[in-house]
Amino acid sequence: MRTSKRYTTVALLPAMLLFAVVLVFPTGYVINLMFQRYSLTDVTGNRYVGVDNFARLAGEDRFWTAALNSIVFSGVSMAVSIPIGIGIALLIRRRLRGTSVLRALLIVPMVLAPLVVGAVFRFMFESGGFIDWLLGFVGLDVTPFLANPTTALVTVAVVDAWQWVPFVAIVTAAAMETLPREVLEAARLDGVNARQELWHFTLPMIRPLLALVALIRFMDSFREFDKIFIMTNGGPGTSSETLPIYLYRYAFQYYEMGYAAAVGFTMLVLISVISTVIVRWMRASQGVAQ
Amino acid sequence: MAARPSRRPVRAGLSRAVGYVLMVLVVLVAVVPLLLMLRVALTPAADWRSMPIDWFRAPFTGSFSQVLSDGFLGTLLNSFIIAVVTTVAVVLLSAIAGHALARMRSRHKENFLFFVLGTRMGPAVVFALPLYLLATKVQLVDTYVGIILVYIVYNLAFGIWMMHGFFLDVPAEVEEAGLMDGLSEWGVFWRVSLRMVVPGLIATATLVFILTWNEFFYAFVLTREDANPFTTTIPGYFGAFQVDWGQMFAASVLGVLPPVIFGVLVRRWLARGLSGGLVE
Repeated sequence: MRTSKRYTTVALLPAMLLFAVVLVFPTGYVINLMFQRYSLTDVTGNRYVGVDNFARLAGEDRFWTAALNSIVFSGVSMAVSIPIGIGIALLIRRRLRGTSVLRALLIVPMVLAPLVVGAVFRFMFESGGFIDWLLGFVGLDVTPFLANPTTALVTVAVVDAWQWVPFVAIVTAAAMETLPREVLEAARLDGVNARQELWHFTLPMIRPLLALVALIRFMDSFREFDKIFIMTNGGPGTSSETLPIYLYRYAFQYYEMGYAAAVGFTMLVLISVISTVIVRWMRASQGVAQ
Repeated sequence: MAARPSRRPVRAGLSRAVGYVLMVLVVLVAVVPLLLMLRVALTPAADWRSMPIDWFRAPFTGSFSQVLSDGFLGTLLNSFIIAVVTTVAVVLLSAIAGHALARMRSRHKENFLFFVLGTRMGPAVVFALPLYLLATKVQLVDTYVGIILVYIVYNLAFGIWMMHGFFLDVPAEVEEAGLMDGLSEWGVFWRVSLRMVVPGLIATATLVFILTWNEFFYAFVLTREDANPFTTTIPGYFGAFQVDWGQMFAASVLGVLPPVIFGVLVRRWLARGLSGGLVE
């Protein structure tokens, strides 16, 4: 159906108005704020300071630690969740008896509130807790995962991966079901083994979807706040402090809104750059897949 | 030579056995944290840490009754009101906008869609800052209107993106036939197109409901004690020196039940929704 201009305008208007009020306005506000010294606790010194906030940010070790931690967090979360998710999708594809039960229960981690997921894993990782017991049971050494600065960040990232493995698995399994069975069967008849079939047929054919999965997983893990907040609150020290936690501290604990806005803007730029790289890869691979 | 035909079934049987072991393992890893939560919520404080866990001991209901008498139900009701209103508004608005976009032939369309998707990558921590300052000024802190408005926009991008995909699948001839029968464009939308995307509406509604129900950060910043959803009560159980795990998990179990039930029931619509309509 060809729709009139008037219909399109009227239909898009409500959404556009909402975007303007709750999205475009705040973005503009952040951009305005990041050039100011704007404190909520000491209002007398508030004024425009040019790019001072960015100069301060560039010179703060704690900011660079947080930026690096964010990248490590996203990297670990993606590197754990995507391969395991694809593995589970392959398991679903085998259609063994009970696969429908597996599919139903697989939903559980991703419908739990991330904050609650963080709380329950904090309990499980307590010294003498469930994980210690489990590791002792299989004869492994015990380390205080969340209290140790070298393991805290990675541990929370693995918990983040735990929550989103089902997302990768379910979406990948659905994509695999749409693949032409004849092609895969013909390949198998030609003597291609299971591993070759996976690497040279199945995975290349679903590559656009995998790129989208990677993009969504990147954006979601990069902005993750809840689990880190409840499990370590950025600690010990600043060893698991990512950019969202760092930003939260400056905005809502120290009330330095101008500086926090500069951090937020930098974060948006970082996310856009990394996302663009992933989208490029997605577009480049579309030709391959078809 | 003779061994060859007989080895195959053995190998297939072995690989099947490995498959079943993996399936059991995956299910255990997925559900044990939820079961553990329930177990601790039903255990008196003295035994929270006793290992191995006795999964079948008699339940202790003290934590649940304490949580229920502390006004936790009020925050659950808040979660419910906020999630339902947000879901209805988002599904309605994104159906209208998604349909218009699916039928639009303009070079601005691609840009608009990417702008829409781009709003999804905005971290809550960044937008919460100006929204908090704005909400303070117009006195919408700790009100249903304030938090619901934020949630509608927070989910609208995703909703439009999804509904746009579903409307693309509605064949043009069906809509043309509606026009021939004398319906207006709006008439075609309400009476013809909308009825053909019911699975899409369910998928969108499910995802929006779950995302809204589980959201913590905006609620943490924008609500206090009148409009606060259940997620905001969880950090309160973490004291400076000790955590009341029993009560915290009792509250958590009550809080996670609606999305778990909802999610398992409508799971077949979820896959398509989660991928933004990229797979059937």
